[in-house]
Amino acid sequence: MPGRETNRGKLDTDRRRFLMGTGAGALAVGMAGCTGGDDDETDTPTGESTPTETATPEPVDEGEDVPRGGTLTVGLSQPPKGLNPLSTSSSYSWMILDHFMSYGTALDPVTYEVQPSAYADWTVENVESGEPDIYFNVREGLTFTDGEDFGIDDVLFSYNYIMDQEPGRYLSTVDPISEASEADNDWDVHLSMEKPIGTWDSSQLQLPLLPKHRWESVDSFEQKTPGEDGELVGLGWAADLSQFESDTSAAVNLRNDGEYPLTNLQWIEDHDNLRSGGPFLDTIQFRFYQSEATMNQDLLDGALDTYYGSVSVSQIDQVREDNRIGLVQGQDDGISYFAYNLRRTPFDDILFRQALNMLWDEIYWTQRLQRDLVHDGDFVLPPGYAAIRPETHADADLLTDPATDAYNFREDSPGVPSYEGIRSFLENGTPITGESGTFVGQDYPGALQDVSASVNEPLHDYSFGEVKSDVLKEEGVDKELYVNGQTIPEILGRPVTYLMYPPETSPELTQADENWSQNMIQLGIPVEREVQTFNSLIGRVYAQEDFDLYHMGWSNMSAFGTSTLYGLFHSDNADDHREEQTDTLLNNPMGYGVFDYAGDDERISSARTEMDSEKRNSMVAQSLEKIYLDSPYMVFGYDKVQWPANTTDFAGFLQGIAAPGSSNLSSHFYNVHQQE
Amino acid sequence: MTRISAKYLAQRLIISYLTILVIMTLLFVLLHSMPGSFIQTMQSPDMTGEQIERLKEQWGLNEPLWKQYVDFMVNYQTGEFGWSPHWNVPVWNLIERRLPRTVILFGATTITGFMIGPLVGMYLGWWRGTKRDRSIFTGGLIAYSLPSFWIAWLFIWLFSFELDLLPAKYMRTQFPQEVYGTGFEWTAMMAMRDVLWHLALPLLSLTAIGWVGSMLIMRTVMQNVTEQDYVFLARAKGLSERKVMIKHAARNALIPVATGAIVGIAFILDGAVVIENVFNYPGMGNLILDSVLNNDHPTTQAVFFMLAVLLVICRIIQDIAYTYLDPRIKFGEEES
Amino acid sequence: MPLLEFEDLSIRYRTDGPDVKASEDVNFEVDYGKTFGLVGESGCGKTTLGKSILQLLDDNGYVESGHIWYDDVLPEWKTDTGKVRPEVVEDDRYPVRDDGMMDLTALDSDDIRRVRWNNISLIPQSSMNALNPVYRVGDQIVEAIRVHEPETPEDEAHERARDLLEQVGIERERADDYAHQFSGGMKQRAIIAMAMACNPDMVIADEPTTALDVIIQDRVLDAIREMQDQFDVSMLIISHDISVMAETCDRLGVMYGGRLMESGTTKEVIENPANPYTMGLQNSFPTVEESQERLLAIPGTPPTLTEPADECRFAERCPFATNVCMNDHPPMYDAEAASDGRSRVQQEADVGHRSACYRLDVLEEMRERAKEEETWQQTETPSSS
Repeated sequence: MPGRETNRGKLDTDRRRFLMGTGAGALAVGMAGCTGGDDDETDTPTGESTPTETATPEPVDEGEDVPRGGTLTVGLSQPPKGLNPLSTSSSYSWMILDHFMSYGTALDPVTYEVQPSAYADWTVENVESGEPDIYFNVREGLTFTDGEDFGIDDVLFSYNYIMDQEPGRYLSTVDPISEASEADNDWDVHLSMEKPIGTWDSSQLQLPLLPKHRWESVDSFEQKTPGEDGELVGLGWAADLSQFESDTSAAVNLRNDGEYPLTNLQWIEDHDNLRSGGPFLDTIQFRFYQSEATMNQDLLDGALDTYYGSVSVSQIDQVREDNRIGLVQGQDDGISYFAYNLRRTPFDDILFRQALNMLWDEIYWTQRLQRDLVHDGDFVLPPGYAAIRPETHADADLLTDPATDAYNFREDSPGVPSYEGIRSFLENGTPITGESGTFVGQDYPGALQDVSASVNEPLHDYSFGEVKSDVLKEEGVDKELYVNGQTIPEILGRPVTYLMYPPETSPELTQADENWSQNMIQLGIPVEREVQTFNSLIGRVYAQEDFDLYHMGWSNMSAFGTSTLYGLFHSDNADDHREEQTDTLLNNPMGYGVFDYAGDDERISSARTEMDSEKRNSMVAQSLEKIYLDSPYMVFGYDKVQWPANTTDFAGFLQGIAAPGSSNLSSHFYNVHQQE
Repeated sequence: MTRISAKYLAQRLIISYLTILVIMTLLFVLLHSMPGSFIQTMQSPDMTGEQIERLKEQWGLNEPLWKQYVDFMVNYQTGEFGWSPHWNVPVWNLIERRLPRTVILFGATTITGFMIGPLVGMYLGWWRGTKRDRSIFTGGLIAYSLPSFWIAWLFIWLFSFELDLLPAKYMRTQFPQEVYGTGFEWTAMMAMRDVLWHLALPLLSLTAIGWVGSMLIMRTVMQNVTEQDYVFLARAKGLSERKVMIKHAARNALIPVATGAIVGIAFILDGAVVIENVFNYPGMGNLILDSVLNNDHPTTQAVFFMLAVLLVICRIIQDIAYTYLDPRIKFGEEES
Repeated sequence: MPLLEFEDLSIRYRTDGPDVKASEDVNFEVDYGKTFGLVGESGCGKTTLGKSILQLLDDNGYVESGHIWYDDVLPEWKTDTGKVRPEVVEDDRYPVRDDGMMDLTALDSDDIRRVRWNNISLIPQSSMNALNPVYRVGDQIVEAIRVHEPETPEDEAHERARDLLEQVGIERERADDYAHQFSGGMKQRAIIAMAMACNPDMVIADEPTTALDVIIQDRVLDAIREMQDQFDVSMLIISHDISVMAETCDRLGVMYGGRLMESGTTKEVIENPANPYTMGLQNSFPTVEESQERLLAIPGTPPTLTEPADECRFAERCPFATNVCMNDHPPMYDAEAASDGRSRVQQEADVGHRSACYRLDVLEEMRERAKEEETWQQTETPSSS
């Protein structure tokens, strides 16, 4: 779904987590929001397949007749924010809208390949001219949820209406389209593009398809409040919205006669994991909650069959004990990370950043603090989107290839960093740039792909000498780091400031912070931690870029990588403070791409406009590895998602996909069915 | 008969109006000094500067500050509260939907609390120093010092989980067809009963604490009133103890309690944030929390504005109520 | 013929320590149509005595022994002709003695409530604040009427209330006013009007003039006298102001330390006091007849009523006290007899002129010396203001 994985989604989700931590009843969860089971867990009470690191989707038997009927009740931890498909970006709204909306193309929830939906086929021409032409054919025989026929008129109306109205949510999708018209060749529709867009088949071809007869009289898209005025009509598998109370509940009846064309398409029939002929359920009911604790309690009480989200660490034992509920394993679609401010010395230096990365004790974090419910992190794209990760392109093992472990914790004995090793790493001045070699006692096999870091020399000279900083003196440290002959407080005017959330919102992360900053101090880097609430952190980091390093508990990422890379790592989205102090809220606060010593603007830009998906994916994978080497972020975890669902009464849940309980929850709505 | 003069009332209304203007100005200043514009929640990373500008224009944020201020002041006074970027509906829709719920729950709590509290306070004040006084008073203080959500959880555990007597969330049955069979239609009577049934537990939890405040005031005032000569005289007149206590003592003791209750209504949202969360009750408390945390400035502004207006109105009502309850108090009338 | 008779009345207040002996063996009588004045310094127990008549003592006060006899009985204890039914007199369960008088201290709370205001009403101390601020004055009078005469229609009761107010000099329409709209004197008179509402046999007035200025005092006293003449009620006036008493009362009783020290007609007590305390008290007030050049205070402080010593209560402050005074509090002696030289004729019944003093043998000498300033300065206790 285009535009869903926007920065807005990221902020929403993070705030939701933040709320969860502070809300009454919820134990603080912090970054442990989405976690999975222990690797060696073999005795799950429900008889689930044993969860493994890379839970894979289970094949379905298409020949089998599954029962039709039944009501699935789903909990949402917040009420939807309106049901207007053109204006709402709320995931909660889309849980209902997804039943009503279908698009020209669909994303395979397992492989993230683009597949046909309301458009039967499509093509792009004149890419070289810089103004490509997109052509597609509209599938025949489709009807809207209100029974009216769907046709080319509706498609043309939808494009022109959205191009005319420019709703913020689809602005960037329609902006490159100069004209949408009936094609004058064999194709049905012609889109003239102003510029090439890499993800055209999953963005320009995934604009909401609006029923012309319902929308043509709407002068301004915002005025329409579907749901409240009984006007929610689309191309989806829903029959109707039989109940909608904005703050408490909704019920959607489904077209479960097996005749809904878009779930009977060949690619679904051929798909190993998806079942054709859906949806199978009569009704999906939604209950809206004000807190996750209440929602989880209702799941255990039997009032819910599943909910949007995943089980938190504090609740997982309870859910495991519940005989009715099983845990659907999944991959994370987001990352947890630290970010460095590349504008500041010595954070501008790759060598310094890499040295800090090696001080992070990932074993302490993943095993002790998170009870093995997270993976150690590496690339800025989660394993849920494995197709575009570097490992896939280099035929290497996901998450475990040595090339993804370049910054492993360097320890002399368990928990004790190799201070001398890391000091000499800084003093000798050879960063990990993609070349193979041995760094602080660990072999690095060289980059998976043909990429190298932005620079292969450090920017600064490092040495260790007499302790001047009070922070270090208080800790009894015997050596202090000198950068070009100066201590860090002499350069910055203060010790390194480490921005963190209030401890009560994420106690485990606070412990990890404590551990990491203690390691830095012992190495000879004076560090002070500064507590910021989530909202003031946003202001400090995104508006003022006034930070040395900060952490983000969890952040959603987009499936194709291009918008993530462009939004978070392109200089277009960074404030360049060298000339003018600006306070825009752009999403690249590190300034990656602004400076020639760290950036990948060119490749990111080409990937954005590359219309061949294979080439595009390969460029994305290269960028991911380059960013890994440059280390503006240090990714420290991906959650092992465990999504609770009533596996006693229902079957057809998709194991092993990315975010089964959140961004891919709606895929279940046409796959899930009652147990025989 | 009221002892409040038209002139005084007019003065009072003008001052109230000015107060609201000042509060609005403060609100405007406060929200505009918060870091980040609410536009950020509508931006996506691949938006161009031009698109962001257009967004700002749409929301009137590219106007000079003074113009935004004037627009705000004018719009609010014409009942135009704007559009919520977070909920995608007009702000007024949100308030219209949620305010009645909060008023029902907390109005009912205020009523029960102020029925029980002063009644108990009256007896305790009358029996001051007795064992009964001491034990109920201590019990009340203990309840008073407990956090409201804790009591709420306790009651949910007891009445909902253990005894399965009362529902612990929502304000009515969500999927009645599931409970009462398909083809079920709400009748007015059933709907009312259903709402009351759902209201019982939050009401009970809130009242369990809510009565104490007015009890404490009533008890103290009652103790003082009991010493008054007119109470002695009433007794000497041969009135029954009950009549002396209620008609002569309690009637006087009630004056500060009742007028306090009126302003108390304005502080309804005090407890709403926590209790509505615990009982999954979609009212104003949740709205205020959500809109603040999501930088939904138009909604935040409107909610705080409603609160300010509510408070100001309650103050006027309090003045009027005073003149009814206590004949000694006059507002703005010339001394005869 | 007595309307009310105090017989050996002892009242106690419970405290955390030993009980306070607020009054001890008090005997006196109030006759039909007459005014009895109870005078003494504050804290001497006179207000307690007043309250005890209608069982209006504070929660911790109780009658330890003694009786308050009232010359009427409850309506249901009477025959159709208004006589006390013989079986009531004979049956010990009824607190009625042979001559048909009823013991008010023995009535239960419902019964005493019917006596209150209906038979005996009361003008309380500081009656300035005795009107309830939230009700109209007229309504408060009506309330009293309707409690005891529920059969009286509302409007008739209102008429009566207005009549009563008019009689004490308050315009009829002021019945619709609230207390705060009345002046101090008006409030006092409204209370007097209220006291007469049920046409009682007796009115107890506790410090009726305290806190009023002299002119208002006179008016209030006039109002009381008028009411008394008109309604022919007996009155018990309680005051520390002996000059007010001199003007109003037929008989006086002088209280000290919970004890009745002297009683007699007003003339006897004022002109020929037979007790050193009365003499001292007189010195401290301007008398109406002769304006004294200076007022003499009795040195010392009133005694504590918690565990009082056995000696004469006044002995400690008495300039005439001798050893004989130190053994026991003296009984009441006949003062007439003392003037005749028979100094120790006991007289417990409230007849004639009585005084509780062992030194009645030197009565004339005491009277002479009491007028001299030095007499009162001789006592060793530091003189109080």
